[in-house]
Amino acid sequence: MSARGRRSLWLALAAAAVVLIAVGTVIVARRSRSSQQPADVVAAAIAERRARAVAAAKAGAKSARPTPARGTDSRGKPAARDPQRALRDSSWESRLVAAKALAKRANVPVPRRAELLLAALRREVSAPTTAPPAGGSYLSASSLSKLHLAQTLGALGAEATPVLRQGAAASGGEAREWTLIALGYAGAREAAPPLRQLLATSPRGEVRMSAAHVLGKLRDRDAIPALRAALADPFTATVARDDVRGAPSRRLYPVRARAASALRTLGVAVERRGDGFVVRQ
Amino acid sequence: MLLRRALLAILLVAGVSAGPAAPTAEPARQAPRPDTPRPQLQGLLRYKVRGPTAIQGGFLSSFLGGTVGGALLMERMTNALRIFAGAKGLSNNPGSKEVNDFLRQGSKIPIDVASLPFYASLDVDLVFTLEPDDKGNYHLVSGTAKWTAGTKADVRIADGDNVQHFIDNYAGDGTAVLDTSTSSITITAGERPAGKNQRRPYTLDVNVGFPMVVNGNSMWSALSGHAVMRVQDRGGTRQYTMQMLGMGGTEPPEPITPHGGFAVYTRTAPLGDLLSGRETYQDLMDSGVFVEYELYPSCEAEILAPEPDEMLVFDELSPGRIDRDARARVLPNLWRDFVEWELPYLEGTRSEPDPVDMVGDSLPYLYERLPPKNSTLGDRFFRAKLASGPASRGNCKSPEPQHVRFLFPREARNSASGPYVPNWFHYWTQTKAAQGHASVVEYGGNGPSCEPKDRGYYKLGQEFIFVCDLSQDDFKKYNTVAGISFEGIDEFASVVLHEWTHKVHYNQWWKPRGGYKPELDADSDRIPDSMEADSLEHVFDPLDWDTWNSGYSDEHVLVYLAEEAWAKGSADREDWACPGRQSGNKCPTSGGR
Repeated sequence: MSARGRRSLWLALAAAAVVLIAVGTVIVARRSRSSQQPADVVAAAIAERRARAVAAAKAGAKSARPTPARGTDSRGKPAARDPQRALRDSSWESRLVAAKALAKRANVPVPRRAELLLAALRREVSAPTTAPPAGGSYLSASSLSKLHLAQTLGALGAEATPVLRQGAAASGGEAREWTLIALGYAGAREAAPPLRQLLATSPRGEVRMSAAHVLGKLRDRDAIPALRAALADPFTATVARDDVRGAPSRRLYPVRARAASALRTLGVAVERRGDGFVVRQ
Repeated sequence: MLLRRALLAILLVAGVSAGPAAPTAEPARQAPRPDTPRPQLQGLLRYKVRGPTAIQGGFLSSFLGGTVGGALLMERMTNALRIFAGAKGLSNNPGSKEVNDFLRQGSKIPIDVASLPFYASLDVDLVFTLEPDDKGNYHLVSGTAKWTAGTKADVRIADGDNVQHFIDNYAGDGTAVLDTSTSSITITAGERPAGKNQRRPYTLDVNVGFPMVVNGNSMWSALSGHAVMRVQDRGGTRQYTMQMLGMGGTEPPEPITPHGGFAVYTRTAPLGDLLSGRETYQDLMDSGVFVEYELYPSCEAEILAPEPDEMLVFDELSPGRIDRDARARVLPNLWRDFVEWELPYLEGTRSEPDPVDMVGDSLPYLYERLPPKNSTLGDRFFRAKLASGPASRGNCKSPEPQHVRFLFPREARNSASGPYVPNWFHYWTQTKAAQGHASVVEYGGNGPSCEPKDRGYYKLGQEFIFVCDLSQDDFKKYNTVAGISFEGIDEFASVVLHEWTHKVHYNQWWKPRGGYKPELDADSDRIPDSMEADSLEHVFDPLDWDTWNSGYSDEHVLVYLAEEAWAKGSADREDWACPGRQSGNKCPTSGGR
């Protein structure tokens, strides 16, 4: 048989099969209907009425089942959030907690984590939060946020330094300053010279304070002169809302204190004198 | 070959024979239907008759109603009538029409029997089971009849000095098991009508009879009391007493055939309409008949409201209330009044209705006043059963208990702590979230010491720690030092732990030194310098209050880190706030109606 003939035979058989199926279906349906006995019909009628009654009664019930709130699962627990979205939350505290959580996410490569956190730091610099200071802190909410983002970036370690190095080179102003602090927290000794510069010249007390702290951590002995100079830094702060009552509030000199601490780390004897510090000769 | 096999498979599925060449198709086509048990039908029928059809006995009633049990009375009375009223024309077993005609003839006894003031009633409650036969028609297999019957008549008929007085007084009740050899209840299918859209008619035919023993007495007096005949029926025996012109006597009791109770009803209708019905009509003897019935596959109830796991939240008024309806679907619907509810008991809460009134398929209920104890809230069950009244004979399936949760409105102030303390504080201090410090945790939200945005505070040297209004930050807290967030009851726990840690630090470090002394704390971080230089050396610098450059004092860093000790979720199972851990973030409307 030719190929064309075989194809014609197949088509004819298929058509016959379709007709047989259709006829068979009709016959079965008719048999099914005719074989229904009163008992079956009674049972079906009762089931139908019952379903209708239940539906009607339930429609009349006043109570309503609660629906989970947005951002929660069916049990009301917070749903796992996309880290990028969490870093853009409207609450600066929420963003900061999200940043610290992201830093611990081992399934995200360190450079990627560093990129995301650096972007968050830049957003905070360009659009600082105006929220009131956190209870117990002597820093503004924005400064606290930037400081902790820098620390979090630094905690990523050496793997994050290429991103931070690139970030510092590509930015200027306050964003560059905090990126350098992050680089210092990451242990990059290359950050020491610019940090010394920041300690001496940054207009921001929080940056100078952090630069002094990081220089101590880096054990940068070349920073001793700048640190000694910082013992007279004018930056002051007070704790905004202390939840411990009954202790006298006191004006704080964060740069001086951090510089003193760094000098002690570097083996330079420092002692307090009034609101300031002096190097013990 | 493959094509042939495919066709065979298709035909097998379609149930069509492929002819002799496909023998394997035959068994499928002729395979017996699965031996599935036919569904039984349950049914109940209320049958009430008011009028002569319901008469049980007595002189007057018997020949008016013509009951079987009255035949003997009729015979004796006919004889008396023949003697005293000249009723020679009466036959031996006169029917009511004959007696009626006799009493009305001429001016002798000018009455209309149909208007006589007698009352007879018969109430029958049938509970029965029907089973289908091979043709699918249903037949009675078992059932009971609970009946109540009574007859009262007091009639005086005067014709000059001849006053005839009839008194019938019978009553009884009982329950009889239906005898399928003498009683029948059937549902049969009629012929399908020829026309389109015509529905096949089905016929429900009830023809039930059962013995009925009634007790009572009857009296007939004539000739202005000179002739008196009495009968007394007690426990299936009858005793006659006759007095005539001063003479007479009492016969010994003799057994009598019980009266016949009955329920007779027929209805033909399309099936959907036949499954339940209610109608009233006049029967052939002008008695009023009321019939109400329902057929159902099983006798059961289901709790519709509250819904499964429904959250019942007290409203924010004072006292707080939950005012709602419990609702059940009852099958058969005729037993909707016999649902008995058992509502959860909440200690310290006033509830309505009283347990004795908790019946019916729709039950308004009320809980008033929030319970003082947190443990009283939470998981509870609404229970219902279908076991009272006639439902007790139906072997009914009671509904599954319905699980609900009783919750308090989180931010309202209507707990037992009064209007100055929010509910969340009242209840959460009773949970693990208080971490055993409930006795020293105070609500400070209304005091001057809680400043805006404060979550709590501790005043050095004091016994108590204070929690401020946590609703101001929507019960969310971020610990930016430890990188933890807390919500709801977890926030409460973290605040308690935070302030408690301040207190512990004070008690450990400063109390032995006679209180906080600034001169012993040069860097003002609230850690004694001597400790920083000694036991905490290399951790904290006595010259810097923020050794870690964290933005917080060294003591505060320790306190924030201490919050990590609170395992989030530890108190979830006790959090019955709404919104809260058990309720989710979205609360249903509190209160109720």
